[in-house]
Amino acid sequence: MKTDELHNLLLKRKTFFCYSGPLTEKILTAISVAVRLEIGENAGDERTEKKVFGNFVEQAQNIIRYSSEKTTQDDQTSGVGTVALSMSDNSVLVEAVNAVDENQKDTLTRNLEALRKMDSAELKSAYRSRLKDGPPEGSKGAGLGFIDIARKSTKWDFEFVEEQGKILFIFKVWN
Amino acid sequence: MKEIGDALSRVESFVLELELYYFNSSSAKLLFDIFDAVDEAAADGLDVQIKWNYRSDDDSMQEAGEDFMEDVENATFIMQEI
Repeated sequence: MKTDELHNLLLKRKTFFCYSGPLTEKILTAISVAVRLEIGENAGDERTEKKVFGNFVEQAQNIIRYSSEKTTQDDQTSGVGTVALSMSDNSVLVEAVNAVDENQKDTLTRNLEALRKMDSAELKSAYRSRLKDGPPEGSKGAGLGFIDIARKSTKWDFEFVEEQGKILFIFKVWN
Repeated sequence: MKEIGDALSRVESFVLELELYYFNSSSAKLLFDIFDAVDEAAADGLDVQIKWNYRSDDDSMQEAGEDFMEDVENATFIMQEI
């Protein structure tokens, strides 16, 4: 792809921020300032702005912790992936992409399908029990990220794309 | 969390005052664990106050405070609009 094509593609899909490559907590902190400003310009109101920013951070941290593609950056383990912010149907769309293995695909599918069936009261109670009981086995954080996103979004969706023996996990959140 | 427990055993009253703008889900867990620790000290008779300060236009931090308050049973949890 030519450089102008990349530029025009991002413009055409109304992507106003995109990071692709190794992500660490340090890099996330560094880009957060710009991301926060950009979201502020596009989100409309402060309430939405905070939700979008929160969802962006949760999604970026998922890449850092769970991407099956790892490199070492500044002595910090990083997860490789892509995270983007775009305008879509008058909403702000946060997209995250990272590689996963077969086991992760099964676990993610199970967990996310369960979350999808919950209404807001059930999500709140799932969030509270997770806070109380602690993270599930295999979690590298509090195990709250997806529940938090489900509570703080108007719509979310996920899919897996498989090519050349590699599985890509795609997660999208609208606010 | 052990340090907090030790510190609480040496005082007669304790005020935890917070004013937050945003926290991620890992920090939510940490906050919950801190509240849990001070709430336990309150159950043992310590006078504990948690002051949750939130800006008047900040619905998300107000709701977050109300959520935490539901799980605090013994300490006094004060929602304070600023």
